[in-house]
Amino acid sequence: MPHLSANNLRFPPPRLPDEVAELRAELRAFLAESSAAEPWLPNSDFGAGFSPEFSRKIADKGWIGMTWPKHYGGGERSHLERYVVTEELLAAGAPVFAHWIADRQSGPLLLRFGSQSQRAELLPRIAAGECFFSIGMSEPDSGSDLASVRTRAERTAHGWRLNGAKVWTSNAHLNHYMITLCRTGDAGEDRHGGLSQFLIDLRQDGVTINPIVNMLGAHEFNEVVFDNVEIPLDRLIGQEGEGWRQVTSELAYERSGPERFLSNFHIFQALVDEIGPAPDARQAEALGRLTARLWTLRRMSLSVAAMLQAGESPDVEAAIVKELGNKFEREVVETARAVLPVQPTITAGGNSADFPAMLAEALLRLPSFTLRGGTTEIMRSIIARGLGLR
Amino acid sequence: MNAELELLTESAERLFTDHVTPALFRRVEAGEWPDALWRAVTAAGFERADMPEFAVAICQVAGRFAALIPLPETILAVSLLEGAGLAVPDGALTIAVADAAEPIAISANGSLSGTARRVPWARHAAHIAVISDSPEGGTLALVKLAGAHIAPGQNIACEPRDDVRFDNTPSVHAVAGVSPAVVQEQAALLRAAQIAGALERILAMTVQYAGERRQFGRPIAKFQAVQHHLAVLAGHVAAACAAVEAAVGAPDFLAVAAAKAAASEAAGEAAAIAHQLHGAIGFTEEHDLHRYTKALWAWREEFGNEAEWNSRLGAEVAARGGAALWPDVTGSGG
Repeated sequence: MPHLSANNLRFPPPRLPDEVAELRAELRAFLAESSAAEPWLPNSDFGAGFSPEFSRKIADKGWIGMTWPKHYGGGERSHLERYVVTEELLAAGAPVFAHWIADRQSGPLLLRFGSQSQRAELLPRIAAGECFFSIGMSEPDSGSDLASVRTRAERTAHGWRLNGAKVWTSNAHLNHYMITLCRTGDAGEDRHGGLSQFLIDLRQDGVTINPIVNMLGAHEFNEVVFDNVEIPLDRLIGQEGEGWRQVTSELAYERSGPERFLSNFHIFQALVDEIGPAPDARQAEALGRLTARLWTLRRMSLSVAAMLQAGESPDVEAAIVKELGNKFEREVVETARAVLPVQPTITAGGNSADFPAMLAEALLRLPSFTLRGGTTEIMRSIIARGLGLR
Repeated sequence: MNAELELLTESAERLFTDHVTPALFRRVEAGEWPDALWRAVTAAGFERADMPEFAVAICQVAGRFAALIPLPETILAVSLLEGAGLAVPDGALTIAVADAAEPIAISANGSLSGTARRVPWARHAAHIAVISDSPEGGTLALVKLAGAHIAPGQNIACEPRDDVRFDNTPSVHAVAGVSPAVVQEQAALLRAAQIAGALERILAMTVQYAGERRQFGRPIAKFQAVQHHLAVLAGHVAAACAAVEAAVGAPDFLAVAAAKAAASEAAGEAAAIAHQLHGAIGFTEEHDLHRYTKALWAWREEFGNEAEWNSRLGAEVAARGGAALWPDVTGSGG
């Protein structure tokens, strides 16, 4: 008989610490005040986009680098408290993209693998909301097959010399640094050898940032070309040749968070108000279905945050959250158009608080959700490995 | 999971492994009462498991075996009687929650009139706990089934689901102040737990089968199309189990609605994938798979299917408005 605990795919519910209620109340008051002072129009990517000013306000509240040690500018608070901050920011549609990647994954990566001087130099600046990061993984010929990256760093007398290109790099034109995965040696039989991660200053000589306009007509991501970029020795992150292990350790942070199902929460919320207090049978069922799913996904995601807090590596659970979360985000948009007489409508000037325009923006962004941060196909392969099939 | 709960689930696993056999399924399908299984369950005291944590745990284990017994019904009836300070009679118990469509009237002297539809195991239960609604509030009545008219029926898993007609039938006790809505939620949570258990089982069975069955010179689990089917199956099972487990901590209306809707919806999706991957052998009487998929198809409808819970939840969400949505979602559950 097979083992009955369903192959150990468990999402034990965490007990939220008591401090959380106070923290949540503080966030809601802050967000209400901020949006009243300077209203933002949510979009369905990361809140209302890239705002260094807003990120500094978040930093002033101590809400960036919350789990990091205090001597690096962190707050030494739990992953569950950080979770509450992130979900409240996303649910309010606040403009959080500027600091998001550094807070979520670059900072934790540096904390885990960075040198003493890298941590001392960068973590306090990230926590202060002054230093923003891009992810340097995908390349023109390396998407889901990350191990095939061809960007290469060669040893020189004084450090390393980098050549190659990264693509789909969100906000490279606005951020300060990129953590780049590149080849420094032979791939070896499992193809995972010979990879290393470097900290690249996006303003340095030899780095060219070319905009790539997406299908919404917006410039958010870029191609970043490295032409004989000189990297000092102390910009290697962690160990030479350990890049694969390091980069995969980032992914549970990247995949399980509330951004995988709250991207278009504002559409769901607006849909409730568009339908109004007396829904017809079909609308009531649709709203209930979305609510039930959101509640379930949130509980699963919280459970992964608790596992991260306990020092576990919930890669498979994170992949499940992302796969189901992305499916839910699509369902939000599809449900809205199915139960309301509304047609998604492009409005000149971009974002608008008008429901048809919000829906259009959300619809046009949907194809990216099941691609970014690992495709649905890759998530399913990770889950299959977790089931012992690969 | 705390140690006491772990011990309970381990001993339940052993008990059901010993008693729930293909031969037992055939006897129950033929209308027999699973006497030996029920004696073992009551000897272990499982029917007195506390609501909600221990009750959910024990029902989930029972679901892993698709055990055909009135365990959730008895657990819930015991809990209601004890909650009302009433003595708990011997023997299996069942429950009926009356609704507006099928009202059951309870007179001032405590006798019942009306019909309870599809009552689990009524023909084999000694007593029934009826929870009826009235403008003055809910009433819990304990009634001897020997005095009621029972028209037999069954669900798709061949569990008895009988219509019980009360014709000025006297009750043993009748007490006010029991909410039918709350009892319906408790019953739905226990059914969702059974579904979660059956889902865990069919995931384990299907993963094992895909690793053993060879086609084109290799186990079918090596094909990416099959792997992705199994990954989707695992997602449904994980979501249903997570929702049930999260609802146990604080089983409020939103949490129970979400858990039963997640479990009921996962049941259909998961059964389809499990059968697809088992191929024709899973469609045979001889193979065990249909015991679990039939249980899933039966249980997903009972005490509210996903459409009913979603509709009730959605009506509430709409009435409270968009601004309340996020506070309500984050404020629900343990």
